Amino acid sequence: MTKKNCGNILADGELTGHAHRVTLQVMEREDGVREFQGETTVTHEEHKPVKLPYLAWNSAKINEYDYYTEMAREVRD
Amino acid sequence: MSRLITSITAEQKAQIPNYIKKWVDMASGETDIAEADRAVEDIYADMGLKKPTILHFDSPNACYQALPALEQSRGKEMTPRLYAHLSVHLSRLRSQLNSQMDRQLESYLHSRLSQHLNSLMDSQLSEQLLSQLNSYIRRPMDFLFKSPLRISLIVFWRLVWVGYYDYARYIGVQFDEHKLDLMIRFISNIGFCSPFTNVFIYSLKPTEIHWANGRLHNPDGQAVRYADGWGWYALNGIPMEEWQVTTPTGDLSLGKILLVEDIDQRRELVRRVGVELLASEGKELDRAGDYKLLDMRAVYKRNTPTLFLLMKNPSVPDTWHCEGVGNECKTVRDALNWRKPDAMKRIPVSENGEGWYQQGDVCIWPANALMLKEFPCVLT
Repeated sequence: MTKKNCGNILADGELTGHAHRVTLQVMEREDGVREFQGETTVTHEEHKPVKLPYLAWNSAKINEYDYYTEMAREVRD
Repeated sequence: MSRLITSITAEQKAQIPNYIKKWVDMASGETDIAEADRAVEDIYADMGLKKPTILHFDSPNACYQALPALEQSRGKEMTPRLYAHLSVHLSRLRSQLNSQMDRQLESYLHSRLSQHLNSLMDSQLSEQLLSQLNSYIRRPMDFLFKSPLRISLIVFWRLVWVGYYDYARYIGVQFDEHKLDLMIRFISNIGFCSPFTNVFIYSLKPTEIHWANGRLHNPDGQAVRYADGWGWYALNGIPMEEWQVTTPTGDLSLGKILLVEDIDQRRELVRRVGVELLASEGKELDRAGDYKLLDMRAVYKRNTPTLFLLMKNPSVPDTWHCEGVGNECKTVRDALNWRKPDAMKRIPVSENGEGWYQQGDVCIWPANALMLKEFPCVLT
């Protein structure tokens, strides 16, 4: 399974340029889940930081339902 | 040899906000064109190049418009070289600062001064300018010539460093004055440029930048405006479309607001019309803590459940989000589970499951978890 190098970014804000970041290498799987391993703090310009203990982690964005297109999708920010 | 500065006086400490203001104000207002042109000439001489033809325009947009006409005469692209040149000079100045300042004091000033400037100049101004320019080059006509972004440099964010060094000089750090002066003259006058060997194109500074609580914000017009009217709108640090800011609150329909795809823009529109209106237009199906499950079918003029979860932002005070959820949800609990990422939903939920985390719209869970708790152990 090929994985994409995402630097240290868990999720980007398209408009603001703000991002959920860690201090570790993040790789994205083909299903969109991003993986990283280690102890780190997740930071974002608009949210309080989240401390994570040393583990292998997965991350992904939450879903929302778009009643215009009648489809579920990842939230966009 | 310079002495090591280990502390600052109360008077020097009191000057920190004034220096922040000085360098934030430096990003907008009248450009000293004569000084800007001299700084460009000096930078080129410093790089061992002859003086280019220097052209200035009212905005980055106007610079882009001018680029195609100059394609034959402008010479070689200089963006990477100028970028590297500025970086080398700034890091040399940084080394001079580090050798004369105690690490603890440096760390203190970094958090009180440069981080603050960074959040304004980099996270807000430069990022949003980049975002605006990115949306510009997505237009088909712009692919007729080379990507303008590749041959341009946003200089605004370097105000962070010259502002910091300016304060460091005030408290006694001795810099190579010639280098610092050159960096200050160049960076404080040129926020955006497209450098070539024969031609140097730069934008005059914005005539207006509106800030509130450290974020770009103007509820009455553009948050950043250049002399030719180009610029962009922003509310509480979120770039907005023109109609989202200029439509009178009474004319903003909930149906239109809920169709806005970007959740940050939607959040700001909800803030504009008031969360009470949103709640009053929807039928409340369930409530738990700071969450409400609303059926907005009347707003959407539909006959079937049209469900939205209204929730308070745990990090930004008095801010609410409203996000669509699947119409099979009956409770807030159903809605919270529905929103989870698909990969996470495949993991069974148990009281004895492993803890997971949520920061805004991102969920983070142990990769090897066989079971997960139903709700995050930390939500920010």
